[in-house]
Amino acid sequence: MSRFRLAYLVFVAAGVFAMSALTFVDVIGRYFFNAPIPGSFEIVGLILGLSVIGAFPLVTLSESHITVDLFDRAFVGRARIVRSFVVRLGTAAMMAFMGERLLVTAFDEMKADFVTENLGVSRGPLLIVMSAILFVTALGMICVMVHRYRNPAGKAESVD
Amino acid sequence: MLTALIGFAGLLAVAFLGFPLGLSMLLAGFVGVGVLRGWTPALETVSQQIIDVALNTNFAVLPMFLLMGAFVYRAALSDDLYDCANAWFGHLKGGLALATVAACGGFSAISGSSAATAATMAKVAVPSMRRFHYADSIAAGTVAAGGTMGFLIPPSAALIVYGILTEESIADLFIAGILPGILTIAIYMAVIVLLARLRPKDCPRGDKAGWPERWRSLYRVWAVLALFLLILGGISFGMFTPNEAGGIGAIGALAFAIGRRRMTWRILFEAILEAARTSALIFTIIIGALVLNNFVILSGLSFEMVEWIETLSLPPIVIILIILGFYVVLGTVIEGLAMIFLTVPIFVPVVEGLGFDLVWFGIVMVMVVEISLITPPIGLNVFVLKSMLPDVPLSTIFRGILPFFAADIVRLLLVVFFPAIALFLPRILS
Repeated sequence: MSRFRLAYLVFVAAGVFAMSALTFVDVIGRYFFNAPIPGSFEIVGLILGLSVIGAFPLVTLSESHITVDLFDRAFVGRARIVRSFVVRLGTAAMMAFMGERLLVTAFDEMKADFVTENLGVSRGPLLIVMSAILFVTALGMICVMVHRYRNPAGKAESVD
Repeated sequence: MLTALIGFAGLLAVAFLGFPLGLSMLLAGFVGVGVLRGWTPALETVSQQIIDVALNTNFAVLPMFLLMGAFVYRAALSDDLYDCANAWFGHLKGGLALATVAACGGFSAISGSSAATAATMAKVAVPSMRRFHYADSIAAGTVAAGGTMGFLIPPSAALIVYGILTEESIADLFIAGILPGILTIAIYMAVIVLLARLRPKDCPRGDKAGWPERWRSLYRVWAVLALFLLILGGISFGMFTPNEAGGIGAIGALAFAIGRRRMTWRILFEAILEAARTSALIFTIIIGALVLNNFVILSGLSFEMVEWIETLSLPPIVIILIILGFYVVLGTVIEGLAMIFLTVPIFVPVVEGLGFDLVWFGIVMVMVVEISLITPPIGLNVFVLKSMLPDVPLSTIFRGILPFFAADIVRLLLVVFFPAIALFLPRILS
């Protein structure tokens, strides 16, 4: 596993764990010390976005999204190769589309000086990072597509 | 209505091609809204739904409960749960199968995963039942059916997803799942008692445990049972929101795993990543389903369906039975969660239009999805079990499941005709 990949996985894992830890500490603080963490509810929402979108490359590049595989067996030989090519290209396009939507929203929010209700922070930079993750996922999916086209029996992990 | 039907045909074509379901729904919803309202509103709908789902703190409940399940799964709780249930029930006729159902109920409640429960319990319970010469069909059928309970017994990922899609209270859905969950365990146990009477040689008694052993076995699992009760009690009595219960559950489960000396840095890392991955793939579908939902609402499909149903002059309960029959059939070819995502945008407005309670319908829908987990030809739990027990033929597993399938239909009809089974607790607690 490359250092970059490991660092990225740690980043995603830290986000998911932080949501639970922050909520736990907030509840304990509120019930036992009458001292909840200010803005924790909002912070959890922001971390959620980053960690869930952050995990998109993990499920997309390993091709483990939920699919309806009812007609899988109907595709054999060349039809199977063409289908895989189309599905991977389409997946990459949809990731890029979602990334573009987040990027446009980020610029709109920054232009309108939109800030969150409790913390008063701009979500723009966070949305840009989320958008970048989706663009990189799209790029990664194209790499998977090319790699699998050249090595049909290879494993996706080798692309990472 | 024609636009909506074309939209759904397109959605199914893309999904059947093997395109990720969430992205298929997103695409169909986007194109549908674009055709009906124009492309600028369609683009805004997609942006809005991504932001509304990904940055919505209330939806953090899903990764937190998934994390709790991942920790508990890795704490190797299954053996102790089974030993505990076995110590209390094992000496009865069919006792090992009864213990399996009880352990499946406990394990699936905490882990929230049907497949994980079936796989784990197949390893833990089946060897023991075989040692006592239980019929393979009964051993496999009990584990396959017992594993399905993770879908219903709260905290359940399916109920969370349903709550997000329909904007119903997740707390109410959890509370509503308690009595039907208990009913499921009771009915499965009744099936085993009946089987033990009809086929005593296939369900013999196990060893009888003494009282000290029984209490010792209970001591080994009390912490996780207490955590489960704390979460459910906290939500039921309004002490915690489901989000807060998720945070407490995840950190509590981590403490439990550390206490059992089952947690290493590597296991911790793997458990968190598993929760992250599962969250990402469910969130993809939630985003897609909500964009599709916008298209369904704009198309007026649900409204026209309700109008058409009214022209049939059928009693509303008959419509519900037809919908449930449709689910049972659909469940034979489409995976459980996918079925919820695909059908909620269509059926929920119809059910609401007919005047039914959506919390009740959520419970009923999840029960039907549970049934689909053991229905041929693609019952997920059956294949999980087959992979764990390669020497048991599929036909034997399905034969063992049959009595539980019949019991499932009975409990489903009970909840359909007596909605109070689901709605009694939410009503008195709210």
